[in-house]
Amino acid sequence: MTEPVLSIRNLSVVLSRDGRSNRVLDGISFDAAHGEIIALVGESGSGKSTIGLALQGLLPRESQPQVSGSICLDGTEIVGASQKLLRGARRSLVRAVSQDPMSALDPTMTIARQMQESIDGPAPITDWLKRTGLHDPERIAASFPHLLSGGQRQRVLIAMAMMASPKLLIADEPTTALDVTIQAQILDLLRTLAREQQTAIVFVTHDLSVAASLADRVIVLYAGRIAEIGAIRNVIANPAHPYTAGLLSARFDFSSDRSRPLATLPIERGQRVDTGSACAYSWRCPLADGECRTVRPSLRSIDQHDGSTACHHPARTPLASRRDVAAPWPRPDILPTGVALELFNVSKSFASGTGPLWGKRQEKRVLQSVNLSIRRGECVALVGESGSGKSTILRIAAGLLAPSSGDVSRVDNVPPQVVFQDAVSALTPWLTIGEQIGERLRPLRLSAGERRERVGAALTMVGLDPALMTALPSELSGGQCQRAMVARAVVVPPKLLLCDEPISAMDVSLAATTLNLLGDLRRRLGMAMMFVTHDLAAARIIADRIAVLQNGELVEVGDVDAVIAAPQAAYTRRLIAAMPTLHLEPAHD
Amino acid sequence: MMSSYLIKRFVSLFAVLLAMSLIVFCLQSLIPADPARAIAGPSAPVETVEAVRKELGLNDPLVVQYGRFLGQLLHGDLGTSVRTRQPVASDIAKYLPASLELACMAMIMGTAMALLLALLQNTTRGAGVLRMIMLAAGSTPIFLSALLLVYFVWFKLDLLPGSGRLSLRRFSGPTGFNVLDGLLVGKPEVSLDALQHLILPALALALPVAVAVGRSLNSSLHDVLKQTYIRTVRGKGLGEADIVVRHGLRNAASAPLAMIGLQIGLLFGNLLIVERVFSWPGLGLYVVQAFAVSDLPAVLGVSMVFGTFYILINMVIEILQSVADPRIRL
Amino acid sequence: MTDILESKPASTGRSGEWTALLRRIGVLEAIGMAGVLLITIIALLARWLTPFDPQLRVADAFLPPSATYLFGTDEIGRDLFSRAILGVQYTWLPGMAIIAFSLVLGTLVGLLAGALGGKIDMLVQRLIELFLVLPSTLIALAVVASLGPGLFNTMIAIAIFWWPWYARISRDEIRRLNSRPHVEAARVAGVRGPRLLLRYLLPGAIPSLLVAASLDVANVIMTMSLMSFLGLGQPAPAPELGAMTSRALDSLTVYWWLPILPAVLIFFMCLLSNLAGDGFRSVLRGA
Repeated sequence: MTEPVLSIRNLSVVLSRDGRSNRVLDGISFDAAHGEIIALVGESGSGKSTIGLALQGLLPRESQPQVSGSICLDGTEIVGASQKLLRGARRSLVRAVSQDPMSALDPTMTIARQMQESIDGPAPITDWLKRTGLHDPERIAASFPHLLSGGQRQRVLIAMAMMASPKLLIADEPTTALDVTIQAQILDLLRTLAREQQTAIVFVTHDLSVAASLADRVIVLYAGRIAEIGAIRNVIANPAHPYTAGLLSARFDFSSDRSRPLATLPIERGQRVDTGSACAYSWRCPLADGECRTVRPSLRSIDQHDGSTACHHPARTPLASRRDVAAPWPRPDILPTGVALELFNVSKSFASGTGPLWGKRQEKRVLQSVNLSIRRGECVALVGESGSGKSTILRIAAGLLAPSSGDVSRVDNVPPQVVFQDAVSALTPWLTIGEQIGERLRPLRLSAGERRERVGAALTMVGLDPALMTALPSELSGGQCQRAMVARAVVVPPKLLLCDEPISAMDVSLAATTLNLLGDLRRRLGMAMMFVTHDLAAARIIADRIAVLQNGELVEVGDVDAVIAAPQAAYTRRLIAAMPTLHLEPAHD
Repeated sequence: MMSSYLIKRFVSLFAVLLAMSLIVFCLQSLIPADPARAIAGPSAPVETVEAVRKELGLNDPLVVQYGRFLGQLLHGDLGTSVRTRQPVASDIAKYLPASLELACMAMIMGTAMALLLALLQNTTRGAGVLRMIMLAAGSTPIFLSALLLVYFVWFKLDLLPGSGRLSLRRFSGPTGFNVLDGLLVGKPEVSLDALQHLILPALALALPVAVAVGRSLNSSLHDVLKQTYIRTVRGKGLGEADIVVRHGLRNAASAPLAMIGLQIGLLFGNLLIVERVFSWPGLGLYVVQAFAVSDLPAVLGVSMVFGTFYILINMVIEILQSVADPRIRL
Repeated sequence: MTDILESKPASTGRSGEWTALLRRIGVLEAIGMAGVLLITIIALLARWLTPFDPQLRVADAFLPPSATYLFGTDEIGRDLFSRAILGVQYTWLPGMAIIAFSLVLGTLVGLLAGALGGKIDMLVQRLIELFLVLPSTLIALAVVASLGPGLFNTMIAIAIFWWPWYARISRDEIRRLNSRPHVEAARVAGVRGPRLLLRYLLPGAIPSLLVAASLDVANVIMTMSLMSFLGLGQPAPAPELGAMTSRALDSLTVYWWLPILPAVLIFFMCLLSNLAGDGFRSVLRGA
């Protein structure tokens, strides 16, 4: 191996917010060779994005960053460098592609001018746009960003970064905001360009399977420290850190066992302990012992693979993933006759744009004669990409929207309840959890005591402490908010529960926990369920049947196993092929 | 797209002007004093008053009276001033250039100062001091800043003239804008003199504009500089100054532009005070003198003219906003 | 299913949040808030706080400011400080009344328009737009000129053009909240009608309205003093600050305190209420 292009030694970062300082990164060290792709994997709050910002010298000034250690990038020291030097480094050495392509381009400047800014001298803009797979580069170069789709914008951003021939590219979750099919193409593009230009990539992600499809090496971060580092194939095959093992067992794909609850990681509980002299993971680790809670493990090489891990007992790790397997689900009571929801020939159009002064407004069709029925006790997953109209169907089913034409029938007097995508914003900030759950009990005219009892029971059912009744949403974590929202939906069990992408913004382990909770409740309370998602793997885990939606039309409806094993529609096949899996490609050295 | 926007805009402009004329008309008929009695004289017999009343059409239904009022407006007839005994329209034509010259100068100074304040606040360290200065300037009533300018700059220091438009007794040029006319008739010394007279009153008018627009620009620039696309630009290695000028200002333009529009409305009110303090012979002073003798036609006529200007300017501002941000479609 | 009972994170609790909120206010803003309180007290007790009778000759005319006559005396020997104290009352209380009236009216109109939607919302929106596009100061001046000068007429004229601002904020906030997931969620949970309006929508709109109103106090005071300066306020013997300045305009170079000091009082009222407004905003909006 030649001289590494990037060499990080003992990097620590302290950020302050509201006068409280917080050690976000602690003693990070690793190297990257020319053209190497390194994946940084961790949950939100693990500090993985901070590394990317520190590499560019762009840590937010308002959080008064204190950086120690060394970042050596192609012979240039970044830590403590002057603004001028950092600007030079950003211009020629390190570039970044950000998480949200929709807001990463200046809306008031054409693509061509923004790309021109990327390098000094004349820029072969259209060539580069073509290299990123954009079909009509001239039109795109002359456009303003708001006229492009998310995938197109991400390609533009990649072109903009790569045309400067940087030594290092930081890609911070570049595909999380994109549809699965686009995601696979963008990953391909990154891999190809990195190899052509010998650019090293630091790829930040929360998804191990995305990392597996792209990276050479992986670094697993936990609470600002490296938990494990090694070649990606080895780490996935033989995880040495219990956290990595937990992440691997909590993730689900087409091969996961759907007849029983998913394995989950213990959820972090209580306040953050000062972990100066302990293993940060010891508070969640099922294998932790006294040593773990008193002595902080350092990174060292191990037997499992050629990398290293920060664990006292790497040999015991396999026990972590082979925990007691949960009992299989009971068979759901799907009543063959009763129908919980029936959509008959439902279409929906929205007015779009302002239209001319006189004459009819333009209309945009989002749903095209959709026919779908959900039987009592059955769970149907509605799968589609953004703009497919899946959320519109859910809102029509919930009665929040009226269809333009067609019929909706529900056979129940308790209206369907909804589990919203973003739990935190689905709770009213100024009312307590108990008050909000209690709203559904008002028609029953219970006494205050009875009502409190019912609310408490609902909270217990979703795994929350009934004492949280008096808490405001801001006092709860994101996961707790979601449970509270589920409690509101089931305090009076509806016959139909509608779930709007409830796991799309979640880390793997929280997603698995949520799927388990919903799977349990629907069986226990005999609810039918519509589960809207863009994730076929999640759909397979939770649902009995899958309905695939493309551009407002149902292209395929069928039993889960049939749809996954033998998809009929071409679009379904494409969706399945685009799913990242842990099955590794043959080595490419 | 543009043409249909203009049609829509002109329709609503017409509606607003109609509404304004209606307000003015209602105000006129609200006057407690009987105009017929006022014209006929306090000692005239009832029959004479009645005759005048008929002559003025005051017995007609209100709708008819309003129609007649509109007709007069369309012909540029704003009534006759009680004080000057001249048609209000010709009085306005006479005093308008002086006020417009002052207002334009004030807006130019105010906007320039706003830009400076916002850029300083976003680039230098001493933002706290700057904020205090802006807060103090924004809390100063217009007559206080005008008085302080007169008292110190003119009376104590004698740096700049503190009243009137010119030192010369008689001067008139083709446009009525003295700074311009001096150059047009080949007397640059007149232009210079006019400019010196212009500075203090324009500064007094510009201060509130500078503070309000500067604040709005500062806060929207502050927001813009936190956006992801600015981080993208920083990632390209551009300098902070380049970032603010090339990416910041245009994205931040919308709110401060709207604020400029709002401030022009307030400027028309402040004009009355500044012209009064600086004895500036413009429409403001004309209205102040009209107030003193309850010369309602003059007051309402000027309101109508300023109002039209205000609405037209805000239309231009809306177009500018859509030029600045391609996502806003007209 | 698992039996993990998740409990409350060891947070500081709600009283802790309050102290954190108060800590967010800067020193200057705190001074502003205290100042506003002080002004209100002075305005309420003005009658008993004047050292001399503001309407009577108490000394020679045109005495410069001194320990006895803090602001000097005016052209007929009245104590300027006593008159100015009364002037604070004449400005502050009506200003507050205008804000309160406009706030209540605007909030209600906006609430109804935002909640009912449809034709009524369209109509109210057009009406608000019309008010906002008209040059308000000018028309307010014209209105007072037509109705005749006086404090009450000034208040009416200003309030007519003030409430639409709050109506717009209220209406926009209600519409914005109406499409937020938590209101939608409340609807799904079966909350309807006035309960939805008062428990789920209005509380969300109130912070923005209060912030706007508190930052408007200085604007109202400015507008009122502008009118008073132009002779549209209460007629002559009433000690209005703007009018005091305007009447003494021509003696600026000889007796500077006569026009300047009353205007300086207006300046302090505006400065303090601006500071207080900033403090209020950081409490309600979170810096």
